[in-house]
Amino acid sequence: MTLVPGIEKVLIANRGEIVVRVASTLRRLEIASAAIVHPEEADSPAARAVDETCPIDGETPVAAYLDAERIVEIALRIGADAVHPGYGFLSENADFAEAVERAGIRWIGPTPASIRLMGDKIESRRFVANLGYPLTPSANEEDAPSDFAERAQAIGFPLLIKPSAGGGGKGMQIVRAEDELAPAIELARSEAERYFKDGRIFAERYIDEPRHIEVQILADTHGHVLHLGERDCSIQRRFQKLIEETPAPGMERELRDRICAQAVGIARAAGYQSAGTVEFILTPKGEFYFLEMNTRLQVEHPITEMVTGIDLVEEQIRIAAGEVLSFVQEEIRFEGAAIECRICAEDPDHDFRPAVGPLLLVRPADGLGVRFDSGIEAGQTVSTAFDPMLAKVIVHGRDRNEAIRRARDALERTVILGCVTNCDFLGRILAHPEFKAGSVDTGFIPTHAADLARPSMSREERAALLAVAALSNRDFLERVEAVPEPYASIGAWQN
Amino acid sequence: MGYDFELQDRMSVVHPAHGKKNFTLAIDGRLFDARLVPTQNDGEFVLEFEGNRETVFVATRGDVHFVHFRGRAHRVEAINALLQAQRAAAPSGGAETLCAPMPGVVVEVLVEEGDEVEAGQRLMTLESMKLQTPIVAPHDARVAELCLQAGSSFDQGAVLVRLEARDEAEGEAE
Repeated sequence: MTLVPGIEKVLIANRGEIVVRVASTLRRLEIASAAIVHPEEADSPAARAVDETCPIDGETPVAAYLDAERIVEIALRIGADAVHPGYGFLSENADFAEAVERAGIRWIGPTPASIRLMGDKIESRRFVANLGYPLTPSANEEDAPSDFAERAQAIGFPLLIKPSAGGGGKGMQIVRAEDELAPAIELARSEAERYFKDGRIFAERYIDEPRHIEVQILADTHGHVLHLGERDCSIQRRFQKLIEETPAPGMERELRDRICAQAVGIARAAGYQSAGTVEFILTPKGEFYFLEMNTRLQVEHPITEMVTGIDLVEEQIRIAAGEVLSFVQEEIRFEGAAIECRICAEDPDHDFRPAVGPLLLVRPADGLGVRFDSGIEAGQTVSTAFDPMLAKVIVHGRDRNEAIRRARDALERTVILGCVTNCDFLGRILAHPEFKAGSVDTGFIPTHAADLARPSMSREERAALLAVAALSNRDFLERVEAVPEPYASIGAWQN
Repeated sequence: MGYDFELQDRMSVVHPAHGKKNFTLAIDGRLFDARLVPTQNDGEFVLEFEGNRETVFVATRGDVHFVHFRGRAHRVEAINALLQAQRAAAPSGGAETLCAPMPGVVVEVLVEEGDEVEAGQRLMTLESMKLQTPIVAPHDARVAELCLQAGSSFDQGAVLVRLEARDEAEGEAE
């Protein structure tokens, strides 16, 4: 008997960091855990985090983790009571959710109908507009494909072209002038087809430098819907979130209450169940517009867990088991501030090009108020086959200043060698006076690009690094050994 | 006679200048006392440098040294003379060999070996960082070799396509 009656074993249909994360809650709840594992990752922290690994193969590793049919077969074969989809991959695939339920297995997530309604950008916008909430002006291609370009243009530039089935910033194109429109539509359509097997796209007004605010929702199957506060995810690069924090800095209580209430209103109207996130954009004038709903656990969920003390994965599992939420809105306490930094394999000093290579040394930061969520370890090779995110450093402080200090300190103590990462770049953002002042928006990184550039190194620091390299270099050391009197071999440098 | 190291896109020369263990190093013509002492932890060392003792983490792969120092990770590459000579001799970019500008995955290959292609024609589509980039023929040519298939991933600098001049190939054909 586990701590959640009715759920004895859960199959995690994902890979990497989120498998480790979900498995840790399952262990605490005394529920057996299983995960699908591609042969390339047979010896990984994710594979070792679960009680049972289920090999799954495919044309590419990504294809394996997207093989819905096989995953359902595996869940049945191993006798899983429930499937946790994590984030990404099949987490917002209504057909997969339905196939899981049809097999008599619980789906740890919202109903397939909710995923269809809220996970689809066009459908969800229509739904939210009908509720009377404000949206940015937009045009859907499928309403009348022949004049889509004209209708998009009529919204006015700048525009954003997005895949309807999308998420995570994939396939989005900004269009600032008429001549960019046709190629952007074509590119967006092909990327939408590729990422989501769904070529539908839509256009919406692009608001320059808004803030990205999202609200964490929890809803059970008995009609209780509540929010766990907001997250500010404005620090982004090419629509990919890099740093998230809660509470949103400098946000007036009245505005926060209105945004959270609207998120709850949308989730309730949609009959939403499980954990979900309602995303908004907030303009500098304080207007906010519904952006989309993510019908799954988010990458940045730990910051909400830090300030509320609520384990979102546990709540998802209990909701899936049919339990009533064990707390009401007024009982949720928000304590202090939390920040998450996403460590990615990329080189911020060379136009953020993706980095690859074997991880030679990994030493996670730890300490008071620090959480390190990752699926990496030394010996593993970072390739471009998967998402570039390697780890998340999450910190909690009594207030925002303390959280920033802890995050900077934790990033400095995080050692990842063998593959270039954005670790130092994240620290530069946290150290920026405008970030400290809480003036963040989605244009933060391009706006402050010059300030965020790699600082120059002192001569002494450069010399120290070169000394370390020389003293670690086999050829260099062998040469020293080979020449009994090094003074004899030099001379050129001596004045 | 010194060793060249590249750090942050700049080269420096390091000479051994004294003894075997407790080195004096000449770095870009200035002398420094330096010693690197292992600790019991894997990859963790104490750097004794100019009278200071500081913890550093070092991981080495061939001639590339990754060093975590004062809270930041750095990459220092030893450039040996042979490699330098090879770099100098290599045709820069090679007009007929198209290389990957960054690591990624091949999304689609639009031509076949032997195809005649025109300047500007799309040969393949790459994807890096979730962004697609077309690879186009820089000039009229014939596809001599496709080095990667759709779905394969590659590192920065990997050869994608070899092109040959159309007339050159004519003589060899059939």
